[in-house]
Amino acid sequence: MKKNIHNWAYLLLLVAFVSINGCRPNYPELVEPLSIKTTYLKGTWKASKVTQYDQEAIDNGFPVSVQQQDITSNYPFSDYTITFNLDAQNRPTTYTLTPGTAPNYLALTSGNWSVNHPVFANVIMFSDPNVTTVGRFVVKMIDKDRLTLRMERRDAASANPDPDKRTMFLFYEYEFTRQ
Amino acid sequence: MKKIFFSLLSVLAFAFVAQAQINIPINASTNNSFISNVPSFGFSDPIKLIVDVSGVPVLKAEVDANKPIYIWAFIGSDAPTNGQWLNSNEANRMTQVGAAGADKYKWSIVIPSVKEFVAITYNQAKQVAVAAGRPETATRLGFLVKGKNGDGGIKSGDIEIPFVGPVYIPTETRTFPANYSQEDVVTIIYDQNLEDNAAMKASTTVYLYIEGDINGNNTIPVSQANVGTSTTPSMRMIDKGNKMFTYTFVPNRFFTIPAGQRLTKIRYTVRSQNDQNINGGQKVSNLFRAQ
Repeated sequence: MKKNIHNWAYLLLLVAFVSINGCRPNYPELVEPLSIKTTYLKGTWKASKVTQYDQEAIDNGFPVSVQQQDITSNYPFSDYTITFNLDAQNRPTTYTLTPGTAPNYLALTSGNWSVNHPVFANVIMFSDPNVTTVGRFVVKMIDKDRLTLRMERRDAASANPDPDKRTMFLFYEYEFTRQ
Repeated sequence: MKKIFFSLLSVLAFAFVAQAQINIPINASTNNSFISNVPSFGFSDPIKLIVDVSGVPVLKAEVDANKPIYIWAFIGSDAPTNGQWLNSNEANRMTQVGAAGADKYKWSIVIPSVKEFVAITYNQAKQVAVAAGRPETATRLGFLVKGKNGDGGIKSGDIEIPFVGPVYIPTETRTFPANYSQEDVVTIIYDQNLEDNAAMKASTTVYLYIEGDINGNNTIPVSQANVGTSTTPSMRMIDKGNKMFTYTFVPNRFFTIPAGQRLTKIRYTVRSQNDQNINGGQKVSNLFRAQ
């Protein structure tokens, strides 16, 4: 009898569990922040395409044809390469950026790199031991052989003290392929 | 005296233009409502909402008790100026139209623009419209009016009114992107399809003359080949087909900028090779300073 009581209790718990879950509203799944595994980045990446975006045109909902422009062929962006190095524990160490004669908005060419969060990182930060400037790329997409990084250009004259919340007036997206 | 009169008239005219706004009268009720028959206004237009709260008993009682009325705005998300539901931000406090009679229950507020007040882009407003099952251009400003403390339902129903978004109007010349700094890639685009000048419209080759302003003045001329002569291949715009011409450059590479100074403006003219024909005069583009 005691065993039967236990069985009934388990059954009731199971029914309650199913009921509670069944009553949950059907919310859409949250989009998780892109998690960069630093090992994915290890190696040398070469730019294959650079697209410039007009943030004002995007904000205004203007036609796509006036929101973006492929500028790959305007400057030798195909010479633009970045090498990410890791230590033995797969922690970020140094980087080398070779822009060639293409514009380099990072304004850095070598130093140390890091990511903005140990688990939910979506930003790669670059520093140069010789200058106080710190540059950053936002990671838009990464897979085995392809990497898309976004360089955001924000208004330095904005009153907002937080650089990440200043008005973004344009951005560039660099599509890289692994070398 | 005549001079003073016209000066005064100019000041008054300027004041009128500067304060030009669209008045939008609204009758609030306890029910949620979409009010479509309001004066048309744009996403970036200043508007004055004049809300009659006499149809909402709890708000009428607030006014009768000499308590103020506040606006609570939203488009998908709440406006950042709203404050807290139990303690509305004073920035959203409305102004009583009159002290007595029907005006006692009319409260107004001037909103600099939907864009600024709700801190949203038009693209985001379009996404909210689509999420609500409407066409993307059926954008709406949502708001309600409430007491300082909204606890206990001291509020009207939700009110939505339509607004129109910015419209892209092609022009003969423009820059891509619209805003840029001296380090950015910028493209000057010339659409010959829209050309008014018959000679320019017939030109198969078009050229640019570019000047830059450093620190707000001190115009510096183009640093490349002399565009005043006929031998200026570097300033010839690239024919992209369909009567579209472009010229792409990076300002701080194109101009020789003195150390420690920055470009603040670029002035450009689209013209024929020998300067006999000019498209609509000089255009000016202001530069940002990237952080």
